[in-house]
Amino acid sequence: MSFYYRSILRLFFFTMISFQAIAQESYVAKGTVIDYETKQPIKQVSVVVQSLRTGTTTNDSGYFSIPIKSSKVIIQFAYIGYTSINKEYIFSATTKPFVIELKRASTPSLDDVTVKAFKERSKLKTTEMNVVRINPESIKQGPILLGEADIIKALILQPGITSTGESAGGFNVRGGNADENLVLVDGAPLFNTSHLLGFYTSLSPDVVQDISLYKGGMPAEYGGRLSSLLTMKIKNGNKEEIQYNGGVGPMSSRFFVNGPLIKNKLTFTSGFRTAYPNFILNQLGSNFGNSRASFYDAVLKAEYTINDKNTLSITGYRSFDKFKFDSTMEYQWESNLVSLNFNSELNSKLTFKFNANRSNFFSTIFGLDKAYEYSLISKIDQTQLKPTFVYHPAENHTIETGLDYILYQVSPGAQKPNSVKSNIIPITIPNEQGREMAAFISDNIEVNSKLSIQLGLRYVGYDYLGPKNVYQYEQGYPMSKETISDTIRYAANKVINSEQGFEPRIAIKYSLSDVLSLKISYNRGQQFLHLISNTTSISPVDFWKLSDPYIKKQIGDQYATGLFSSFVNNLYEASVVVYYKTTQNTVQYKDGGTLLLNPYIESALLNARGRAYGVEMSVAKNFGKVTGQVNYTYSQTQVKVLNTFPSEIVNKGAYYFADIDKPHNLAIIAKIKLQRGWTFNTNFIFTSGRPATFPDGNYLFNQNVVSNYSLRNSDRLPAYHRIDAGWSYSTKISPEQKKYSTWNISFYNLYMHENAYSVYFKNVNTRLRAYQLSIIGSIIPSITWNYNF
Amino acid sequence: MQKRAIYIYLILIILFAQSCIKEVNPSTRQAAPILVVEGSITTDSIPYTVQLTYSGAIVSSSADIAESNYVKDAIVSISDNLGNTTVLKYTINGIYKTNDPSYIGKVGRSYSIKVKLKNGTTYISTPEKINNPVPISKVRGNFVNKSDMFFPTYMSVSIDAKDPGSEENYYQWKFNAWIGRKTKGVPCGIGCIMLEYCYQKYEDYTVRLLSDASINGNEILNKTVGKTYIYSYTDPHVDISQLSLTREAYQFWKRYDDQLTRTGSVLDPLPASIKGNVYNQSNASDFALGYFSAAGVTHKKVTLVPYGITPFLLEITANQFMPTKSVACFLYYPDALKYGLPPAPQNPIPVGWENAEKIKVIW
Repeated sequence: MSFYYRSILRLFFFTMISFQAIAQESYVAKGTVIDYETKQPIKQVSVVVQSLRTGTTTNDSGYFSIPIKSSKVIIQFAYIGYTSINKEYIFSATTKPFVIELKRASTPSLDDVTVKAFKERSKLKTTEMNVVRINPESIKQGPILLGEADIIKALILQPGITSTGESAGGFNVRGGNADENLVLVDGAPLFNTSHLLGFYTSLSPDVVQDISLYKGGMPAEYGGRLSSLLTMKIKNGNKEEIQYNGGVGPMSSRFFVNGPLIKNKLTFTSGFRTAYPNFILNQLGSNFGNSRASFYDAVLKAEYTINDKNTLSITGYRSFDKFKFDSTMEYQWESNLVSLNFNSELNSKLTFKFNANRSNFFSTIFGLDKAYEYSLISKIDQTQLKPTFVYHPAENHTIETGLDYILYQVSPGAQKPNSVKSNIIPITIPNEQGREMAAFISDNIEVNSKLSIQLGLRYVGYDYLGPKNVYQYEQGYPMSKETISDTIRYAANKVINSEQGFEPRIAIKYSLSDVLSLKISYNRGQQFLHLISNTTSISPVDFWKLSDPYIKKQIGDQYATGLFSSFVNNLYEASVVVYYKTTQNTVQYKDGGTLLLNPYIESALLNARGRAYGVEMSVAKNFGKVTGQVNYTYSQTQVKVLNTFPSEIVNKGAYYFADIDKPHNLAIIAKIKLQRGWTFNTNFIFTSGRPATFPDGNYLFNQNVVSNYSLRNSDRLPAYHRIDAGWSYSTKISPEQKKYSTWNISFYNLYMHENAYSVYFKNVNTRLRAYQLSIIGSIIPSITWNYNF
Repeated sequence: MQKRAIYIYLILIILFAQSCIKEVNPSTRQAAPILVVEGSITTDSIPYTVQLTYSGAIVSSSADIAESNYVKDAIVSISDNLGNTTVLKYTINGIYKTNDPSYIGKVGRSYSIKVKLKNGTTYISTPEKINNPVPISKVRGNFVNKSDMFFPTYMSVSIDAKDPGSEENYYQWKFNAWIGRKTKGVPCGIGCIMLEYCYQKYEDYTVRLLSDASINGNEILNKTVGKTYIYSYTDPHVDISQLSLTREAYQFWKRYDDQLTRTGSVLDPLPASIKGNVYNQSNASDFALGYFSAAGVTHKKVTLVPYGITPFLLEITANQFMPTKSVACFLYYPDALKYGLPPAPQNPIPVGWENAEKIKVIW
């Protein structure tokens, strides 16, 4: 057993022992807060006992517990988008856990009391500084593109979150690459987050109960990605009756049903969404007659309440995309995941959680040219087991510890002839295997009303496993096929190389006054997976690669500090956060290197270092007739290639702007409650253009004018800006109403600005010209009907 | 792969009917001029040429190259790995040519270039080995009934070849042709017109490449290598060169082609200098632009014969490109094949195609 496994076990057992050391007696108010309509637990609900000046928030399962030193109290429950309630409780030793049902506010906005209570517990009081929480319901009201409310489009309005371009796949957090985001659906990772190359997020907000994005300071239980954590929880089924809802839009439709299979015991959730752009393609005549695009995604979840202490749930998800071009090429990609979650309350202080999941992503390119038919498949498959103990010794103290085991199987590319007459020969880049084993512990303690500390530590060991041939290269030369000096063959499951390291996480909150708090955080992340892509945003030709003897783990360190304040009786809240990030061993590409089907992939990659810093400012008004946010971020993201061979130097070895660097980011979001169920939503977005490489000299070669691009990313695209506006109308009058429908009428890019996705140079009609590509160059109206019954 | 990107965008453009591409005029930086080397040696017995220029603000064609950007006073030589060297002689426009007719590229030898500039800086190229040439086994022609305001309908020319399984092969095809042109000719009496047809030299500069990585040892089938536009009812005479490149030269041309076919889309690789194999002898990180390659080459000369179509139908899309005045064809097109008045043969077969295989191209 290697050193680090022993360390992991030691750390784990040490934590278990420490659980036994603390004990305490008092009444405990405990229970679960659920949604009145859907009967689903609500997390992060503020639970406040005003008389005792104490409170807490519900956990991921809607569960809370507060030690109470009085037998009779009034407890207030409040959450964003819900009408808050005050309840009186009388305690005895035999008091059973409560179930509190919160009703949604009649127009899904915030009412005064809710916000006050919520705010009191949230941003000012917790150590959380880097977290964005979004209510899926509020996304559906906002201005939307082509009839689909979209999770990632809503996230990139928040400070520190950007994308590489209009409707580009993936998202970037504080200067991190898109592959540095850990996206979890009920605990299982989702490797591809986009449909139609980025026009839609691969999960509809309809099936999601809550969305949290950690821009930094990830809890110690999560690891494996440098830049962010996005958790999405699939809605649990209603425990008492079957509910249906759905929507119809110009490009896509969705249907969602949930309810009990065994009343109060076994519930299910099922959702399906499909898009039909072919209908539009068919209208376009012969030029596009052979083109096809389609996608669907489906969710199925079942939750079994074994008893009031134990629950078991299983979630399945699948998404599928297809793009076909003029009868010569077709792209397909699909994600599948299944996740099992078991939650057991061992006693009033100790909870055991277990997650087992498997997730994969396939991308297939089909060549359809006659006599050259082929398929090229790349694939990643991950299996994960994660037991966790949550110990809650006191109201102000939570300890969480557990193990995390991941097995990766990656197929970087396999090409096969796709018909008997095809001249294509089969080529397979050998599969890769790796395992990651981690132990983690975190301690969240509220020292006093002013000071809270969250400490976390994660230790990860990674093994790159055989079977595999590993090439050795001559020293002193750039790696290439010609400089291979030896090949070492490793048998199945033999460890080829190992990497390990600690990931400390720390977050501190100190209240300077009732309305002002200061927060500091530091965290480190390690990543053993690399998305190999020579394009600026995620595309179907990208594939995943594990860390190996040449491509070392990526390491990211992030320091952040911020001031959080609320004023005018919590009507407004404001924050300023400054961060600094460094990354090591990120992957860059040799100019013109071959990536796909390259058995010597290490010879096409360069080792780079990155740095990013920024200041994020946000002012929000959370209640009243007009609500909204103004978010502004100034940031810089740079990379530097460390290779020193003349043919591998990029930008003379100096730092240069990363592809995703966009210094200025401004988003203004406003929501106005109108009469009779109408809401008006609008947003304005301004961002700097992303770096680009323009030619800095031309020459004639082979009778064509050729551009020379000597300095990478030394130019910039024009700034991006647009306004969207949308009206939503709901027939819901009272919170109890279960049958209602909503309409959303949206205008995307209201003043029809042609935002540049890219500027490129091309010889057209014997002249070198510059062209700007705008993906959306006009106003896009859409109308969507959503129904609930 | 990258070429597909344009389709993605065309689809998305139409899909959402809102996307757009427009010409813009961004401000660009101008870097110091860089030496550009374009040259090659093959197994053909022709003078080999090397052109030396400097990069600059060229927008359209060689006419934009300032006279001062042609390198006129360099000493240029080609050497093989056995030490045989030949010095090239300056002609015009930065072009240097070999002088020794016996200096011919040999399969298996490696060749490199040495360029000594007037200021003493010397650029050398990484040696390139001439690989075995592979013969073309079959040539086909196909009518493509597609025309636009710039070009008439055309015949697409494709080839078959057998890829040797024992080695890595990287192919490039060059395509030269004599294509028939037509003018109103010179009237020579009632119902008599002469000198209305001629052959014009045509070179296709499209980069056509293939690596055998995906087909090693199999047939190369129906690989398109060029096209001849149909301006008149005459038989185009075609010369297809099939070059066996080195891997490095193939990769260079691939990067070159990728850059020329950029579409600005998601799938475009990031723009970068096209690094070649010529560099400063005393500073290896000082790269010249361009490439000096060595390649084995085989030729196939054929005459394409339109079949199953009348002259009138064939020339329908060509008429708009015909000059309106009565003039002798070979006088109107300066690079056309010259011939005399009758009784000299009208529109004679170009030298080299007298015994060329005739390929029927069926409408």
